[in-house]
Amino acid sequence: MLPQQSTATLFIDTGSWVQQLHPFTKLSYILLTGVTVYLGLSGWKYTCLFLLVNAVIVASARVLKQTFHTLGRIMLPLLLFMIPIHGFLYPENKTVLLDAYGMTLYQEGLVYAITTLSKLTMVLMASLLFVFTTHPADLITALSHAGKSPSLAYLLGSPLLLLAGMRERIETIQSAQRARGMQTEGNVVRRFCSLAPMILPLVIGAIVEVEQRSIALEVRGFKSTSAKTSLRILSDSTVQRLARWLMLLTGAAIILFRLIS
Amino acid sequence: MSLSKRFKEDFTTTTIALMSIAIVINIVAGQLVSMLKLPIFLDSIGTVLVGLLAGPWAGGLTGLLTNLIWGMITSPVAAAFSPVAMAIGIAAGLCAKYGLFKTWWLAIISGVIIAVFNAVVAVPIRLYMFGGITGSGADFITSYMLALGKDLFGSVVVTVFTSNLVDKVVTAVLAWSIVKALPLRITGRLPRAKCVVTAA
Amino acid sequence: MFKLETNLLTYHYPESEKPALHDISISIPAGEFIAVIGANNSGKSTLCYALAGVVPHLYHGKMKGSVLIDGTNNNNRTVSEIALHVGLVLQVPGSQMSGVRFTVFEEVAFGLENRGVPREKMRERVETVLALMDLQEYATRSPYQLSGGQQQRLALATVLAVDPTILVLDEPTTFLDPQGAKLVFDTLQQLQQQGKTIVVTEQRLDLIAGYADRVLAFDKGHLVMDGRPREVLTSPKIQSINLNWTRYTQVADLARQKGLWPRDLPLSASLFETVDGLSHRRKTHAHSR
Repeated sequence: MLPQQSTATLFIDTGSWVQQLHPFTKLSYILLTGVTVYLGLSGWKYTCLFLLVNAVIVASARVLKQTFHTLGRIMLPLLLFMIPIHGFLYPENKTVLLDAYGMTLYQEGLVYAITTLSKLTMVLMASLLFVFTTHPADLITALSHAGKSPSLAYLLGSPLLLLAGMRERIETIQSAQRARGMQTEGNVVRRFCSLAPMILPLVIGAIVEVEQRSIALEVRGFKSTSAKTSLRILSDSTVQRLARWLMLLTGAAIILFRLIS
Repeated sequence: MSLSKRFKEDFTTTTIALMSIAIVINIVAGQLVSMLKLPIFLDSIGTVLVGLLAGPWAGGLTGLLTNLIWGMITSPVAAAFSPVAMAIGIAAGLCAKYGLFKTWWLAIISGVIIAVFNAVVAVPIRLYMFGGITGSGADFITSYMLALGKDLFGSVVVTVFTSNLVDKVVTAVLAWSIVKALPLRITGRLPRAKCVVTAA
Repeated sequence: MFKLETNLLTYHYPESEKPALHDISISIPAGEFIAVIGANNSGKSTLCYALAGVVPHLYHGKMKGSVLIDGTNNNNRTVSEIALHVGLVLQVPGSQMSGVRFTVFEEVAFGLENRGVPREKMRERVETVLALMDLQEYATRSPYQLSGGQQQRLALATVLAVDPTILVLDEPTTFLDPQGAKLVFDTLQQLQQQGKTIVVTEQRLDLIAGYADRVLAFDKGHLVMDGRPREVLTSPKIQSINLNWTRYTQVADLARQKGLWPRDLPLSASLFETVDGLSHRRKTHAHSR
């Protein structure tokens, strides 16, 4: 049963085949991508092929628009800083590409910047695929199935839900502080001084609540030693299990190969 | 005390609940501060608090998970820096363990130590994954250092350390004052709080 | 039948010198509706925690005496096991939420999942409890997007899911308006009629008289009164333990001072009893004429 409201994460409910995949399958894919990109293959052809394949997967997951939008949001500032800084200032710069207005653009820096950016794009794409298509509840379920301890699932899941409650508290504190004449504008020193009265009550209030939360968890059987069941059904298959192992083994092989050579 | 027993004692249900709240505090404090447009982040205050109240392991895990969650709610780039957040939590926990959070001026020293830990882990990630550039204001320091003729590694080290020093010191002092202000009833239930509290 | 008893229960929180509970002996038969009254820090909450095993299992501290549920000592069970018999509802309903379930339906199921209840049985049970608490229409909503009253009912639902025989509620009406508070007590009465034992701490004395079978009054960790609602709520001792008489008792008392209250009739603590007392006087008056 999916909730009607959004889930605080970037998840988009499309019901696509990628969404149906087991979260660990998608996580293994990110891992393999990272290892391949940073330790394995490099070169223009592979990069283009990889980006193309991923674009197809992302499109069939029906999150193409969002992926490009987010990629742009993240990569654009990086690009704007990295191209000029490395193009002009990269310490290994030798080959002059362009020389105008007293500024010199070098080839080495430019190549370095573009390589870094394209590697980052590849890993980001795999990560976004996971984030956009995985309902946090599925991730929580997968984690609690995997380990004997429910703690990790709790630690990943509960902050997402608590955030909503916290936002309200911030607004309350802010309006209370403003009523007492606190400055959210003005010079740095003033803003600095308004920091403590805003943060301290928020944090102390939240920590005091910890006690009640832990009692609630205990009485609800959080630490119960009996085998747990789950209401949520998580689809998995032999093919997926096999694929996960294959991806992890390939990743491990690449790392091993790198260590040896 | 054996490691597994120490581990169990560090991760009671109370500690787990505290870590969860601390993750939320990290995210919320980070957002609040960016609203005030201050030159600090404060997005590891919860992590440092857990380090003080529940030890280095719990602190490290809090940091790691904060960035992973951040990766899920805003941008996966944050997840790449999760080892850095983990180092902050471990450093804070170790400082507290060795009595470096007993007074406000010791907390300042701890802040500096945390900034060093932060740099040690952040520099390689920034260098190898991001080519030393993260698309933020701190990049100006990097480019200035490069223009002075420093190598990329040195420039990034200077950038990371200077842009985090004030933040980590403010975070450490705030965390110290929060633990001091907590009611005894609460600190009594947390495994490591005595490291900080009994000093007064 | 399920009987709940405490024998000479004394408890110190780890950080405090004074005991939070002092030699408390209570025996509660199955199906009784018990209201626990007292000012802040009188030991009400600690009693709730002790009945649910939270004290001393989670707080440690020093405990003497015992809490027995149907003859079994709480010390011999874990908090999670005790919760199958004694359901504890905390003061702040938001704290009762697990924080890891995205819908009301899944939230209610959380306690069942942890106890390994099979999926089909779990579904059935959750649907029953949601119906009982009138929450069916919110089943797919986030637990954090409910009103105060709804969240209170959800907190109760999560406890009822594992079907405990005894329900212990720590000031369930703190965050509710008078209407909502009355609704909570109506629900509790309904549960009592289904055979549950109810123990509820409450500061609104006027609410208690119509529901409770018995009232326990606490002061600084001591059990100072234990009796029928009318007897306890109208006692002059109420003021000495930092509580106030209800309006109804105040009216009855004033009436007595003015000679309008029957001499042999005790003061009253509810609207019905007060009206009864006043009209009683008029009736006897008419007779004597």
